[in-house]
Amino acid sequence: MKPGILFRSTRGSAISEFLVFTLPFFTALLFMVVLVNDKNMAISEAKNLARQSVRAFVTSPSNELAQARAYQVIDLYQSRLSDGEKFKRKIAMTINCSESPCLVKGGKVTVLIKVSANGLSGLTSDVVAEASEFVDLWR
Amino acid sequence: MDYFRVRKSSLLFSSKGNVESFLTLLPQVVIFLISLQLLFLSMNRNIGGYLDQKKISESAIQSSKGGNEDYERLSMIGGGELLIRNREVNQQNLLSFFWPTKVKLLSIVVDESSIQ
Repeated sequence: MKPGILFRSTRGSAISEFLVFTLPFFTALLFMVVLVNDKNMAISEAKNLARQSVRAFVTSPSNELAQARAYQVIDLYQSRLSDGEKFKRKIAMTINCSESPCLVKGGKVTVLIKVSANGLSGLTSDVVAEASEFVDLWR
Repeated sequence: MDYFRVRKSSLLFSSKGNVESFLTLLPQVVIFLISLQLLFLSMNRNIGGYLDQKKISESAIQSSKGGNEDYERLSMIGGGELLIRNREVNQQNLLSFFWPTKVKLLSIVVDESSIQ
């Protein structure tokens, strides 16, 4: 066979070429499905935890107990996760207040939840959700 | 017309095949089905999670303390209760109908009705 024939010939196996081109895309799709699902779960979890934590915080009877109540929500939630899930989704919380001390009537409290979602092959993506509430004026 | 008649009969009675097409289509179909399965499972898990969250949120709002509660009530520091619904459900999937996949659903909500 002359070397030039390779450049002139357009013959080939359509099936093999189809496989070579599409299999990587399908494999990538498989990974994407898993990653998107993990991310979706982490977003949903972070949003709910932020809402519940800030609610626990602003309904505290005293300023001293407020932070403990918010952390209690996170701790109890984490204690119900399996070991694998605890490793897979690490939860961290940050509390920001517009006033000092935090539990002042009309003060705004913001809770920020960060969930680190460890996906396939060690890929980590952080999901951040926040929820804000005002301390009751008639407390 | 004759062409279609001949073509149809050859498709029905011919046992000829192409091993290349089989080897090519098999991994494609397997990967496609696994992707479909994962989508189906994740969709079901999300729906289950949202429904569980809805159920305990309703219980917290209505402060219903019936005898058939399928969630935990935990006292919070300073008053109030925390409702946690933690359960494993069997989910049907597309590929293995006889061995359903177990999925863990965890929901949490603050019940303020018991705060004095």
